Formats: sequence, C-alpha cells, structure tokens
Amino acid sequence: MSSRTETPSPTRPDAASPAVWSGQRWHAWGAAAALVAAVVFPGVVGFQDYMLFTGVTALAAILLANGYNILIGMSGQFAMAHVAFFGVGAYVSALLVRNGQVPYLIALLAAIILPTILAWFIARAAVKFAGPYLAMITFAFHSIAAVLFINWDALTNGWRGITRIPPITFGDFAFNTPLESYYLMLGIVAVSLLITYRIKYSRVGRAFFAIRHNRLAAKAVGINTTYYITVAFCLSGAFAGLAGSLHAHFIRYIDPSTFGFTRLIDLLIIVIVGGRGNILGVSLAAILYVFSLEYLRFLQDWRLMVFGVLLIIMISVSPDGMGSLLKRLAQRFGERRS
Amino acid sequence: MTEPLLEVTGLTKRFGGLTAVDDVSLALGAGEIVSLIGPNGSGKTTFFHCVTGFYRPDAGSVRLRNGGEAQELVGRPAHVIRAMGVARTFQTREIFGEMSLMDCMLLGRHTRTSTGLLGTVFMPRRSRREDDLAREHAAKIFSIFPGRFGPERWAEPAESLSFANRCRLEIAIGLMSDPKLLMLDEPAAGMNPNERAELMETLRQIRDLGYTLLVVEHNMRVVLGISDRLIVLDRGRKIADGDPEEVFKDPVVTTAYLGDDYDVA
Repeated sequence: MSSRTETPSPTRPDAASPAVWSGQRWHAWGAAAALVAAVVFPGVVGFQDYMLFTGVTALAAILLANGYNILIGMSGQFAMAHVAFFGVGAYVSALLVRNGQVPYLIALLAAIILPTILAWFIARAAVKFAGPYLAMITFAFHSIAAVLFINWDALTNGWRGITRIPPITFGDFAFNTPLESYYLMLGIVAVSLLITYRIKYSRVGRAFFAIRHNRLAAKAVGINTTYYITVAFCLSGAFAGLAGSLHAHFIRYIDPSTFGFTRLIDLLIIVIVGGRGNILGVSLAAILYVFSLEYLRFLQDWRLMVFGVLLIIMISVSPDGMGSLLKRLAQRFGERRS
Repeated sequence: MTEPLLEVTGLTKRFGGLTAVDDVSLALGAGEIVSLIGPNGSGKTTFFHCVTGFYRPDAGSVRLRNGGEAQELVGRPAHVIRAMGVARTFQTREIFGEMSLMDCMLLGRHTRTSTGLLGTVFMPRRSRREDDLAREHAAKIFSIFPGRFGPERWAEPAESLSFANRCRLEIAIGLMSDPKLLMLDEPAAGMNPNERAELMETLRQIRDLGYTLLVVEHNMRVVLGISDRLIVLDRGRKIADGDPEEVFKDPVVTTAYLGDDYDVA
C-alpha cells in the first residue's frame, strides 16, 4: 500500500512558491495594521465618549456578523436564527447578573453555552433542509424567540425592557467607561477573529466551504456534512451569544426592539456586502455599516435612502463583496510593484 | 480470483414500480480495471450510488475487503464508505466551484487527516503541518497528470477548468484518500480523441500503481482500451461479465444495445 504513492515521480513541493497556493502572507500584515488602527482609534478621535460608543457598537457588530459569516458565508447555510441567539445571550446574561446576582464571568459562559445548545437543536432539525426551506425553518425559530422576548413578561419585562443591567465586571474590576469597554471589546473581537481565521484556513474550514460549494461532492470526499453543518450552527450560536452578553452589559439596557427582524436584515447586508466567507471583508462592512449609519444622520429623512443607494453601488461594483474587492486591489498593487 | 476486493451480491434498488438495479451480483479483484457498460437507463449510475452510500439499496450486500476481513458497506453513509476506501466521481463532474485546485485536493485528503475544531484553534502548528503533508501528497498525485496541474495552476479556482480537466481533477481528488477502489462515472465524457487516449494511459497508470478501478463508460474505444474485464447491465440486470472481446460478441449484449433484429455478422 505504501509503495503506490512513491512510484510517480514526486513534484517537489518547494518547486512552487508557497505563496502560490496560500496567498496568505499579506493576511498577517493586514491584521497587524488593522489592530494598530483599532488601538490608536480612541486617541485619534480625542477620547470622545460618543465616538468610543460608536466604536464599541461597531466591534459588537463585527462579533455578531462574524458568527453569522461562519454559518451563511463559509458553510452556505442560509439560516435566519442568528438574532435569536444574540437575544438569548443578551437576556440570559442580563437576567443572571441583574436578578440572579451571578458573577459576570459565569453569566457570560451561560450566555455562550445556552445559544450554542439551542443552535445544536436547530441544526438537528435544519440539516435536512437547504435554501428557502432552511431559511423558513430557522426564521420560525427567530419569530418564536422574538415573541418570547416580548410576551414572556415575567422574565423579560416585555417592551419595557430590562434596565439597570450591571456593567461588565471581572472580579473587582468593572468596565464602566466607554474607553474601558472599547479595549475589552477590541481584545475579544481580536481573539474571536483569530479563532475564526484559524478555523477558516484548516481542514474544518475547508469542509465548511466544500458544503457551501457542493454538498453532494462534499459527502463524496468523505465529509460528514451533518456534523459540519451542526458545528457551523453551534459556532455561530456561540459567537452570537457572546455578542449578546457584551451588548447587554455595555448598553446596560435591552428590550425586544434590539432583537427584531431589522437586526437580521442588517446582519445579512453586512455579510453579503462584506463578502460571504471573507473575515476581513465582513469586519470592514460591519464597521462601515455602523459608522455610515451614524454619519449619515445629517441627511435626516434621506438617510436610509442614501444608504440604500450606496448599498446598490457597492453590490454592483463588487458582487462578491468588499473582501474580494480588496483582494483585487491588493493584487493590482502587487503587480505594479513587481 | 480467490479473494475479491469488492463483492456485490443480490444488489437491488427500486424506485416505485421501477427496479433500477435488479439482483446484481459481481466481484472485483484487486488491481484490475473493470468497465460497467449498458444502454442508457440500465442502472449503472444507480449501481454506483448504491455502492457508495448515496442510495440505500432495497436488498443485497456490498462487501469490501479491508486487509483480511470483508466489511459490509450497505447501510453506511457515503462519507464513511469513502473513509473505508471507496472513492468515486460523478457523471456531472461535481467539483467545488470557487475553491482552488489545491484546496480541492486537500478536501480529497479529508478522510486521511484528523485536525478537528479544537485542533485547528489550539494547535495551529500541527494543523498546518498536516496540511503541508497533504499538499506534498497532492503534488505527487498531480504528477500523474503531466502538464495538466502544474504548480502555477494550484491557486486557480476549480470552476476555471475545462470539462476534461474537471474530470482529471475529480480522479486526482479521488486518489487523495488512498482508495482501495476508485469508481469513475463516465470519465471520458466531453473529451476529444486525443484527450481520451491520454485518459486511457492515465487510467492504466493508476491501475499499475495498485489501485482497482470500476469505470462506467459509453465510449467503446475507451472501454476496449482499458478494461481487463467487462460487465454489462441491461434494465437493471447483469447480462454479461467477462473478457471484453468475448462480451462484445455475446448475442445477448448486442441485442441489448442494438435490438434483436440486428445481424452481428
């Protein structure tokens, strides 16, 4: 058995430039530059609370969109339950700390684990379906969760929402100011993106992409598609729960309007405009989304209309998303230099 | 043939009132190329689906010899059957669209690698090492197809390949999992005569490397050129099995293909 692979004259792997198939050398530089920019951002904006607040919102959006990207971007499962996981994470964490006097760290873990378990159950039901059917089944779950947030009054306080949620606290240290929250959030986002990056460029990530591109062929090469789709659901649930908990304890107030249908559409736009499966593109889209909606406020009633036009232009210019646009620009730049 | 590599007995698959594969029994010896032929709708592809776990047969057994022991394949899911040593291609050239050739090849190695979710997050070095070994392996497999998959093409998306090259890539992906049996569904479809000749050479080379091949093919030049043995299906039943030249002369076979008023002489 072992001799058969020796017989054809092996092409030496170093005969090819490693960059040919990895093309990943600029990833590290790009990530480092983005991190530096994010670290100096508070100073650049003069430590204004409003800007920092928007910054934290953008980072939370990255976290949330990143989880969604694993599911609909990488593994191609058009599920619509992401905001439900986000909401469950937020409510679980807020209620545990505020009403249950549980230490934040424990609440955070619960806010990650519970949506993950829910995602597992949904994946079990959803894995047999694809396309619009999958979207409908998962959207049904979103609707159930949305109704529960509103009508389970004893627990969620309905439309009045949950107020006076304690800030994020680890031991004796409370993240009270936007600046503290910003750096905490930045650290968590950086680690999350690193984890996602490692998953994407690995055997697991390839299995996700294989399922997205051709589920039949994925099965044929020996990928347990049920298992990997379940894993993608659970990962997205975990990231959504994490984002939910951080959101609840940063804003310190949640109500059902945060976890509605529009939120889901926001996320879909971020992932599509960023580029399905593209970690950098989706992160940039999340930042642009949050900041452009803030900075277009001077347009008042015209804001959403202008935003819509920008969206159409963006999608026409680069249908595969901002990620691939950046890649093309980088390649052009690289060609000109060499 | 004392110990067959693959032994199929009484395999049957029904779709409502239609029996697509009807009580088919056959055996494949290690290291031979066997062609499975038959008119359109005779159940060749259904047979493939049953053996590789894409369809669950209504009756019958498929046993693959793994080392000394034969293991039952019926009832196991497709991904397990691939891991057990049966790789296949599709008539419709199923590849992974936008993924690069090298990534497609690494996917072919999926069942021979083990990095899981925790491994990739906490042991990235080990994960990368495993991928590097798989890439070296892919380079060896690619060298079976000289001039087709040079290193300069490894980053290109699979969908940029011509139809013929997609077929070659599918075969290469199949070889990545060190299969005991490689099942090809119409590998020569869409190829010109030169490409067909090259394909025949490649398939013979693959056999000489020690693999066993079961090939569904419509092109009779290819069938005669590569087959050590020929099996003919007609309306789901096996009607002939043996030396290619003799099978072609068998009146049962000519009748199945051409009708019973055709004069062979």
